[in-house]
Amino acid sequence: MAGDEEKCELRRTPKGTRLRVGGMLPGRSGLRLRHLGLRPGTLITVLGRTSGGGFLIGVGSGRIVLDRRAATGLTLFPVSA
Amino acid sequence: MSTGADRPAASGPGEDHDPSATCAAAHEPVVVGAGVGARATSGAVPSCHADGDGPPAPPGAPVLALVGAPNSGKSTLFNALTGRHRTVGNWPGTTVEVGRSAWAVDGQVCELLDLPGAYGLDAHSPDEEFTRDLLRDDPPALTVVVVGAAQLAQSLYLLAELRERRQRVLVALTMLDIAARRGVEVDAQALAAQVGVPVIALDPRRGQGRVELAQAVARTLAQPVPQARCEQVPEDSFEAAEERMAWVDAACRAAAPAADTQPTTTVTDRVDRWLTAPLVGPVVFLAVMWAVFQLTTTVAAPLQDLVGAFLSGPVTSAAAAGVGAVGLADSWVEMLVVDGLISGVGMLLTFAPLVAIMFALLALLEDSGYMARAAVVTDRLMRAIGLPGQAFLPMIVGFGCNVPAVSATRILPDARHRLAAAMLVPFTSCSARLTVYVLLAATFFPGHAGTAVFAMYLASIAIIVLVGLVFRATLLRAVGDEPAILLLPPYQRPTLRLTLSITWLRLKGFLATAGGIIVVTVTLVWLLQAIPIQGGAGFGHVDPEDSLFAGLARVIAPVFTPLGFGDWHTVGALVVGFVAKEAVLTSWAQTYAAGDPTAGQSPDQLQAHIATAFESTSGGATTAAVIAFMVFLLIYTPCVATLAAQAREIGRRWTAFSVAVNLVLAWSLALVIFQIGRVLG
Repeated sequence: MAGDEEKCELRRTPKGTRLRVGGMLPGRSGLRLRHLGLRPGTLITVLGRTSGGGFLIGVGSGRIVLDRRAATGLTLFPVSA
Repeated sequence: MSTGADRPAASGPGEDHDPSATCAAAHEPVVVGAGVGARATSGAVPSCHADGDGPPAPPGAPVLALVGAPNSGKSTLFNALTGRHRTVGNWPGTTVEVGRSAWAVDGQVCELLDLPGAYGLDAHSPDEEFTRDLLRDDPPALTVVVVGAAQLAQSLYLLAELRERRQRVLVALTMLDIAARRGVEVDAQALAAQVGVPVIALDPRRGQGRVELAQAVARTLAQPVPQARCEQVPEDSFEAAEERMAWVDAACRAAAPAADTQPTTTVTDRVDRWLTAPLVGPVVFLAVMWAVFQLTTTVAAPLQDLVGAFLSGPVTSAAAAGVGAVGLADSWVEMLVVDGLISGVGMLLTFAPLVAIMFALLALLEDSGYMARAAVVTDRLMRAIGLPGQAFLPMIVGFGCNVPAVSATRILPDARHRLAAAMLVPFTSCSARLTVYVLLAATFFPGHAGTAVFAMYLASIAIIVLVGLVFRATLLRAVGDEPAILLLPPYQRPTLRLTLSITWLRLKGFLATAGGIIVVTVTLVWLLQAIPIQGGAGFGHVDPEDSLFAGLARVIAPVFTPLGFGDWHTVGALVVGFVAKEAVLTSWAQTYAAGDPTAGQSPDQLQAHIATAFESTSGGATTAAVIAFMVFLLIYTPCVATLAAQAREIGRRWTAFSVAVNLVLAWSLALVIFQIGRVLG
């Protein structure tokens, strides 16, 4: 179960790591992330840190930049091999 | 079915409102709809920004709408289908206004609309709200959803929502080549089978697939309206979003089964890692912008000389001969044509190569996708002044022309953010101001003109930050801060056709200004110069020092004496520059040419007069006076076209407030610069 898994933080995750989205930001930001293809269960790839403390992630063939607040609002879990 | 005849016009310009009054709830973004969908250049005021609506469709023609996620290629497709020249750019939010043109489909003329991008029908900003309202309240006869294959998951949500109603929809699938470079092959037929509407693969950047799309549109229009994809939509917005996402996931799996198992990083991911990185990203951005200005000034110099020689030689001789041939030699007509129009407008035209080169370089950067990376890099800067990172995109547009930049603030969801951004845009140094900087930089900083001009752009950013910090502490104090989420557009190899098209579109705007409002301004300045107020000479034969223009400029000149540039030629040029910043240049050329005809014939001759004026009014602190003048020119007021755009977006009161702030700030900063410079000597 997701609740038993160890959560991952983007800032501590090496580049190239694949993660699974567990929980989302509430409100309009969560809706915006859904528009961009992110929802619980989506697999993402950590691609790097950006200027201003944000993160570059890959979602399918799309590339999304999340600022620090958007990134901390995501609950992420490791993808088991 | 909606037709061109019954469609109401988009909301018009001229509304005077108070955006601040609409955003009482600090954390709930509020949308004001001023002018959304109106044309940026509407109204009587000419602008140096040209955009390309096409011929109208006849009344009763079926309306077709191009919709899709931001940056999916709608405007590029619109241009490819209609032969128009709407502004396009490889970043989200390029289109904030509806474009319309007639488009012949299988012998039937339709009205094609190009709508602002939207990921879905939950509007976050005024441009998205406009698209939502049109699609929900007044659905077109057929909606063409432009879906970027490289961003399939991000592009299909809107389709999921549209398919919840009975309406004719088809998909134009773009960016297949970019998706393939990312290791994702998208199967158009499998996608069509899954989403239940026709899918046409095309490449609008290279003009491929237009015929197939037109045929598909004709077929779809001839068929009955299809059923909705579901009978009932969940009332809870998150439940509805989940259902749509599941539908989108199924479509993605069917069309691109390899997308989720693709290699984790690509070459462009490694490039992006550096271009958006905390330290390297800003350094690369500054280096790129410096290279743009260095290249612009270096390459343009010999071309400017060529144009100047052509205007002062064959054109002036031909005009004088022509006027002489009709018996008007030495008359006021010859003076108006040679000393007025050719000196003034001609001087401006010598800068056309410079402006064209800068437009081309910026078009290359925009088309490649780099500018969206620049927005990521500047996110922290924007947040420091209380604005979201995407506020940098209107600022980038402002470096070309302030008019569309003011309209581009509509991509911001919050009304207060839009108000602040619309008042900050005039501090972005537009291409018209560039012409004056280049002339002054070549005069006073020869050998370092590119760096001097680049420094003015840094000064422009510094002033935006300075004023932005004040706004943050006042205007934006109660405004909430939503997390920033930005979809990076894929890199594209810029095509020569598109780069030339964008450059020509913008150069055309520059030339239209030179041929329109600048001709009127030049004629007015010439008239004021021809009227004597002392010395006893007749109309048209007055010594420039004795003219009405000089008299009026001398009345205002004392205001600028403490700033180091109280010469009447310079002060007169600044006043004329209220109309358009290019007019500073034309006014200088005219007023000096009246006393010395060679001053209107080439930038070199004009430079000598300007140098003498600054030396005499600055008391020896010439460099300080020149820097003070350049900073004053940067800040004091935008052109009238920008003021009209501001009035439409934020209302007349805020526009008047903005002008007052700009004037006070410009005068104060110029005073400080000159006085400190003079003391440091």
